[in-house]
Amino acid sequence: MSEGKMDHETITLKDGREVLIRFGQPGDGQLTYDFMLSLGESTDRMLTHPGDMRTPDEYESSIGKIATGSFYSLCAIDPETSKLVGNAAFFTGARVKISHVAGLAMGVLPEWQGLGLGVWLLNRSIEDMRKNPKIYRLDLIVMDGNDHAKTMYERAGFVVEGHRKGAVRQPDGTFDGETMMGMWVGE
Amino acid sequence: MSSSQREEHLSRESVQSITLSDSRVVQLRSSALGDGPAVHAYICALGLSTDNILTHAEDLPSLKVVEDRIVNIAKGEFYSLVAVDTESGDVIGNASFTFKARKKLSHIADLGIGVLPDWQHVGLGSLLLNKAIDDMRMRPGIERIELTVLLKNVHARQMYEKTGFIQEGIKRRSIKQPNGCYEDEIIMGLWLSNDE
Repeated sequence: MSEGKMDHETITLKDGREVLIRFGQPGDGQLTYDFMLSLGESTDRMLTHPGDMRTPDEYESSIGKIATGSFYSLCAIDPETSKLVGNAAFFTGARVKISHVAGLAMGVLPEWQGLGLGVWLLNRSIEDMRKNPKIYRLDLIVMDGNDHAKTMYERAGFVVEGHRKGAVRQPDGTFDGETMMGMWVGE
Repeated sequence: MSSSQREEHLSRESVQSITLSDSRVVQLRSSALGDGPAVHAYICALGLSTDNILTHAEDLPSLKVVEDRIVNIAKGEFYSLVAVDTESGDVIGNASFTFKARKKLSHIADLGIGVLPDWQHVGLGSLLLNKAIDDMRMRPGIERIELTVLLKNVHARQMYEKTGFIQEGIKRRSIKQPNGCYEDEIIMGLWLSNDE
């Protein structure tokens, strides 16, 4: 899934820094791993547990699915360090009855937050999904306590569809709920 | 429940013969190696009998996929309870749980359940559901059961509610039926722990 035509483009954030935006591409496995590791260390509001990080090769394997249309990845890269600092990804399941649904996962590293990058990645990736003739519905899950993200999703058009109590067990053994959100992007 | 009580429960409950409300007799037991063809035939028959389940006629699982799942039971990665017609030996109902690989979700069991049309409305679905939930209560680490059910499948939703499941949300137009129509899915959850 890579709908809009874009080799890469540069955007300027609110603090004047620039980031390079491009789609995920083969060879991004290590870059993605490093990003997920940093993101995972910065927050417990994401699903990845420090004990079940995927390997760079496993990320590479996901990136390989971009070509088959079951995965989409939009990357924000710091041009100074060439590191991934933000990402928005959509996954589509293999089952026929839910093949019109794409699930969102996204994140921005702490030092790049509050500058409009998350909103930019979110809106651009939603636009791309709207252009995808197979995708009619987007959904996502946001953990309790991540109110900033939830507000951003609501502003982008996602609607709260429910709440699951105790759906996430944190490394310290406590449980968090999660909010389910969805958006129709078909006709 | 202590580990010895748990073992006693598992051995005592491993095979149950049940007389249904129409007097037919079924056996409830865990899927075993060798059940692959019978379970596969059941899933295909169920998939073609109703549009209330996620399986679409075009993506029925292969026998190999079904057999691999049964192998995964011994590894603790899958749970499958089957109802077998004692006359024909056919599998005519099933309750299964899949478990999530991610650590933060490893306390959750995802339920899938079905009964062939000829065996519905005789209490078999409730039997499978209650036995499967009891087994999850015995399983260390499982705190929560989740399921999805189509909004229109009122009979199943009532059964889940009677068993204690709570409606946690509605996913709008999340299922596309073979006729092209979109349907809403109800998300339900059951908390097993007594702590909360």
